[in-house]
Amino acid sequence: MQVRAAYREEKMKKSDILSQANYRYNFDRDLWVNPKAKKAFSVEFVDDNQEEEIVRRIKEGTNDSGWTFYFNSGPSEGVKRVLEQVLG
Amino acid sequence: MMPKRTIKDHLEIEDLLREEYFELLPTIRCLAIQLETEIRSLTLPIMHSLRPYEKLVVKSRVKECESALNTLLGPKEGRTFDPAKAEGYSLSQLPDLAGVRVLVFPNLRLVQVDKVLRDRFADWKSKPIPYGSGSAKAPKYFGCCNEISRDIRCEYQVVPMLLGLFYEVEHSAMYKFRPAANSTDMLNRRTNVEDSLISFEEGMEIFIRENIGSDLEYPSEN
Repeated sequence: MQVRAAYREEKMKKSDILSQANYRYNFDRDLWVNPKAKKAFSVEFVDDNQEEEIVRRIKEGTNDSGWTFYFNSGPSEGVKRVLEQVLG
Repeated sequence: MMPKRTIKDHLEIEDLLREEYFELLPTIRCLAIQLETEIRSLTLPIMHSLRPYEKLVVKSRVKECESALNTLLGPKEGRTFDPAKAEGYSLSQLPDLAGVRVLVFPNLRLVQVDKVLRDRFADWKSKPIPYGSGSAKAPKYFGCCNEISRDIRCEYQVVPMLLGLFYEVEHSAMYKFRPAANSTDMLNRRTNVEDSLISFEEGMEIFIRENIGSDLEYPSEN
């Protein structure tokens, strides 16, 4: 039960961290998206990484004007183009 | 005949798949009716021999367009078709565009229904659905109704009724909602519900065996 409670707390923290950083959940793509920062986190990436890592990625600067995708296995160029189109 | 279009972006992949879906839809509907009718016919003798507390319900469904697209997409991060692989996508790859679910209570009847249907669909591929924390599995089969189509596959499953009714809610809440489907906590809770349902069924079977007798009225072999 303690493990479950800890897991719930961890999940809550991650979604809180993302919400507070103005990320919204996109149900169609299963992504946490911040259009202003042009960053998107896959659900799988959020699940598989510690909250410190999520915070670090939220804070990190990006070099180009395009979108940055945080995926466990990086999206192909084609998929990136599509997502950039869809996410605006 | 519609001219083949060039796929320029992802929206065209999705649109082409929707177009394919509606081209297939009349056949998918025929398959659902064919399969449901055959299964109803084959299980009719069992239906007539049910005791008052026993249940047998046959339901068919045609997979909806968006659900078909999502299934084809699979569990891929970003939930997006890859334009570089556009030619490889086709809804005819899906094994369950038409399907029938037979809900049965209690499990003694489930075994009986499974056997009757297996005799008819002997060449269909078996892929049972595991549930609960033990070794319980519900029978599920894929195959073709060759009278209607040799290309589009169908599925039928014979499911404990309590589990099947639970799935009607669980599928939209978890199976089709990725964050919940990935959640260890929710997976544990689902297993707990399934174990409780198994326990209820087992309890019912023991009660019946000890208090009423388990000799089912089997339909005539002739």
